Amino acid sequence: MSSSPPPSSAAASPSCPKKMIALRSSDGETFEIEEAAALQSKTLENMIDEDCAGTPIPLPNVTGKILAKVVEFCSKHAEPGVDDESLRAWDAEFVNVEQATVFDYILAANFLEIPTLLNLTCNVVADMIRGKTPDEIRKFFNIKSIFSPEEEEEVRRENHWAFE
Amino acid sequence: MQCAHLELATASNVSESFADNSSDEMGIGSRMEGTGKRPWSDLPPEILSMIGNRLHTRTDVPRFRSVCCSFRSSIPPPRRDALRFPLRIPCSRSSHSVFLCDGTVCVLETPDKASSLAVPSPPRSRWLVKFQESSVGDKQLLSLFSQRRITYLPRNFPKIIDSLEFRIVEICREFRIEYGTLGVVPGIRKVVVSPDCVWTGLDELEVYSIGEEGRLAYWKYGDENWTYLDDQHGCSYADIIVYEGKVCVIDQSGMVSLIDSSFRTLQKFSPSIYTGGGGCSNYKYLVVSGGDLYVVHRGIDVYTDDYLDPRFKETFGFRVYRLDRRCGEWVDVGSLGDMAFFLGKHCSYAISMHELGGCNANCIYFMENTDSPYSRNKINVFSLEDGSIKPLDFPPFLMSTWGTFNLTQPRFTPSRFQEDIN
Repeated sequence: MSSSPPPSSAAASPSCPKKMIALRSSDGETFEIEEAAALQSKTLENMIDEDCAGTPIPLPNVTGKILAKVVEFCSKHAEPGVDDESLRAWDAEFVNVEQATVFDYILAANFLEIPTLLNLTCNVVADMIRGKTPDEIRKFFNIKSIFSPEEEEEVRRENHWAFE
Repeated sequence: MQCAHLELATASNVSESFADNSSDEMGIGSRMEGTGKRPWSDLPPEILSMIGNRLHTRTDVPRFRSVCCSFRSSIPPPRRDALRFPLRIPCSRSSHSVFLCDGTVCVLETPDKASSLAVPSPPRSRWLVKFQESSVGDKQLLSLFSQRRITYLPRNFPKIIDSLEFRIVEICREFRIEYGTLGVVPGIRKVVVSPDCVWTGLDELEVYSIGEEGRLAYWKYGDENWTYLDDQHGCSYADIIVYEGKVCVIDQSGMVSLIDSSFRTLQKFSPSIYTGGGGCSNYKYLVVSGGDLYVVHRGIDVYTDDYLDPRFKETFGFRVYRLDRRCGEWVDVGSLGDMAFFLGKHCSYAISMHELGGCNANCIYFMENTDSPYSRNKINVFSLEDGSIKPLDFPPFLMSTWGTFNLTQPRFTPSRFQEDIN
């Protein structure tokens, strides 16, 4: 593989087909992604730089279901000529999914180091939290809270409002 | 963001976080369908931190920290040197001590169970209120339309709120420049502060103001004096607001500009609005609603007295425009739909009637300034549906029980509905 050119800009001339990277999910599915799209992920970028891009890159922490969507996200964000408004609308649709899926996206974006996806998903979760009481937040995310009595007291004090 | 953090998704440390521990298939490496449960409290601290840092209000942040241990430790409590109001600031207009004061407009909703001490078991209510914090941390109610203190609490309003139990949605923040207890400093039309959230420290404080004469000035914490941002003979500014984290100003021609805080320059953000000429005073208000920027153009007739001094102003109508970000044009808005706009003296905001109930949608609530020392400011409501203007018939905070109107009991005498001149 030493003769392959260093991965630089993704612009492909008509005569030279775009370089595809193969990824394999934890459950054995294989996906192809354009190099330009793959570069959205710092993890993949490092692997490509190290020339591991020949064989399908194994991603043991990401299921096929999620990897398919991540590939879709990266491809969309690597598309040239998409205006900001359309991309924003597309992103909004992309995260218009169940919270469990958002959770999976977060972990995948974290593992693959995709800042745009991580940013988007964290924004969505913050939106889910905004305005809710802690009880509602716990119910929504199915979280059990176990505070020590001292912490409980601290929490109560921080949230106590008195009106004059 | 190293791979090591994914160790959290193993069965052993996941089981603690679930009340109903369904199974150990919590790792993302396992085959988990979309409707399954996820161990949110087991997210890596830096991700919880990223989420927590996207919450900015003084209600959302303490609540996030109250959810569970991992959430609590992922973001720190509001800074010790965070912004505290009132804050002493310089003012070239006067030699008195001058303070920057704040107010927060929010919607409160009582929980289902009775938690207030005032009434045995109040029906579930929603309140639109504005408050500021006193030096001892108590909340003082202010009029929705000005800076007047509300010294009486409405009958069913709880004296103590456990903010963990109430749904609280912060609508907007307002800022005023006041002489200690002597009221607002005259000659200042609007003040905004940006950034303004629980994470802002004193050293990051930037204050922008528009004077009555239309000049734009700013003050950064530590500056000896205010600095003008416009050139003396330049355009005159009508209103200022923070939109998507950026300070925006609108001039008399309807053109909106963004203030670049690092270079203190203005960038054009919208074209002008052609509203026709006419000799009437024109007031423009910037309002943020549903993520969009609106400008409300208020048409006012000015009546002069025998000496041809303007003595009496009366609003005859409003026009609303929304900035369409896609094409960068102002769009004439015929209906506000579910929203109601509130044009206060120090801040303007929009509320969804679906959220609040208790007053009409597709309306603009505003204060009629009379300028006469013998008369009082009235609060009127303009309906976009029929163009009518009627006086407000409920006090300057709203109450409504869940889904129904509850304005039947005249709790207050009519004079209480009006604002004292200031």
